[in-house]
Amino acid sequence: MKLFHLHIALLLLASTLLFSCTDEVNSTYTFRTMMPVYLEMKDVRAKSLAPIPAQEIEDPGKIYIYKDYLLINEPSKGIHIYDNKNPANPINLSFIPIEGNVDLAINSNILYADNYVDLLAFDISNIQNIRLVKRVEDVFTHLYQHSTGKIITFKDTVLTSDSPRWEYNDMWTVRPGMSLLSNMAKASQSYGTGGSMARFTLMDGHLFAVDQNTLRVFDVESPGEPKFIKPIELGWGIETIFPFDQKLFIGSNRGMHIYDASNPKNPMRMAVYEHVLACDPVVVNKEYAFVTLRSGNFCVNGVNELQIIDIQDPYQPKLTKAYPMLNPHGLGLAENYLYVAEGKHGLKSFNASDVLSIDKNQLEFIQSMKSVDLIPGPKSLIVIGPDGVCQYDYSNPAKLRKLSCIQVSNPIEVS
Amino acid sequence: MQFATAQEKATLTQLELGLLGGKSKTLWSEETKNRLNFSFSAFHGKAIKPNHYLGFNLGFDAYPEVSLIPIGLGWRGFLGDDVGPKWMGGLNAGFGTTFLEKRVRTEWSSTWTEGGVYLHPFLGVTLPAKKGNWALTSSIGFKWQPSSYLEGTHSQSESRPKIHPFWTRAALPEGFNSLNKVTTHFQSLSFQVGILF
Repeated sequence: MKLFHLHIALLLLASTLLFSCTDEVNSTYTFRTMMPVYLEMKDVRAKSLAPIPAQEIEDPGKIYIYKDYLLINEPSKGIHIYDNKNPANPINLSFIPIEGNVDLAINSNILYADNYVDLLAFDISNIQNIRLVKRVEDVFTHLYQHSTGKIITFKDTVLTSDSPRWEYNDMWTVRPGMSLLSNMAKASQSYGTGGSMARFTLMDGHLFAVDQNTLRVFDVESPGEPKFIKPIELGWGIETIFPFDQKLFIGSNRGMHIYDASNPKNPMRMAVYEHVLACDPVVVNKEYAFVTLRSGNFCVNGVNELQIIDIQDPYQPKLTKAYPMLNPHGLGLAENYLYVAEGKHGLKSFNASDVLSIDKNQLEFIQSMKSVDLIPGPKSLIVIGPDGVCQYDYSNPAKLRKLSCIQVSNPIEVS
Repeated sequence: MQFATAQEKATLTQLELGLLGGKSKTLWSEETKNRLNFSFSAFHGKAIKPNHYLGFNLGFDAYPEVSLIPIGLGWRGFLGDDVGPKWMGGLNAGFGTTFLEKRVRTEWSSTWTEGGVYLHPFLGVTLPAKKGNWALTSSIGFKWQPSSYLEGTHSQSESRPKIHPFWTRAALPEGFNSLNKVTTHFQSLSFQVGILF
């Protein structure tokens, strides 16, 4: 009887309390975004630009080969300097911390690098004693946010809120991949001299720099004294610049601009070869321009092909032939051999001496070699991809041989 | 022979069926709804001292939108005469796994469920069987058990970012562009009956 009462008591207690506890529910929304960062140039200019000991590469940007040195930009952070006498064993020498740096070029021992809105000139004749020799202020003015007079940049940031939304603490953000600077940084992951995706280039004593819509010309005939000459409006969507034979071939996402730079102080437009909206690095030889069009990221047209454009009459470029590709990114031309970075699909080499039958002259397709850009250098073919910055012996274009890879802590994601 | 605890048994097994009662709440409103969910629990332990057993606990809890399998440690303690009903105290604690839940992965996104650390203290009585070395048990307790529903968009299409088998530590794991996480801390009154042997 006593036990029965105990059970009744327990049941009563249980039924009273059964629904008394309420669940707690909460939500978090974490997202990667580009947060605007406002900077005063006077603060940026006050920072030291002296080289510091070698740093590990996090995120490789543009690559530049100069003499026995390999320079690798860390987007928005600075430039790594490698001794590349032996491409099988590149040695990390030092790092020049340059905020806002995305491109570089070297002319007669003078390294040019952008520092947000300024152009810097470093004397690198003694690689152990690199020093700033000139700062040309306020030339890349597209970075100024004119309402505040400050620079606006975007920082890849991870934010957490309690709900999915794009506003955060009264600040505005943009999705990564949707911001122009992010797109530029992404695209900038592999630019360089000899590379098809460069934004700085040198020709006939002048430095040419492109941003999204402007070509800027600098006189560097006196290498240590760069002088800004003029900006030239190009139209939106400019991506790459490639110099050849006193001409500038400027790749945009709508086509290829050809400029006559025989008077380098005043490049004149010769023609614009238009195609569908796509991302398109360009390399050129005397008769033809080789352009890759690809889909992905901002290049949304779904076109993946290699176009051969006859430029023998640069005022009237015309399509010679188009070859379907898988997802071509950067490309490189070394004599008659063409190398195409096919993104996640690998890397292809072709004999391009007969432009009408490039597809029949594919020499090698290395599917394991995921790549976004390449630079045929004097000693090695430099390939940039998820494995880092790798160098290949390409003395036999039909059989590339890996020499070395510089590991990076934040490898490029290949889509 | 009557069921006895510490004096006679070196090991103890307890199987329980029960109900978990509480109020579920929607995320964006204060609206609540009564819920009553099925629960199963098994304990096997060793005597660590008279009337105290320590061992492993395994269970199954079927909440409205998720089924959890709690795996953890348990303690059982008894108070009373050697003969007749006894008071019983217990504690189960461990991790609620979601092995039974499906992960949905598309080209663009992944959705999955994660469990969390649970705690289940309870009090009850044991009623020894008239024949055999076993006893009926009845207990009430409080069970605190979290579970999260996660939906992540991939930073690259066609990629398959790794998902941690138990719980995602990073606020935004590698390979994801965004992650929406809705966590429910189930707070239930438990009412269980079972057997000890």
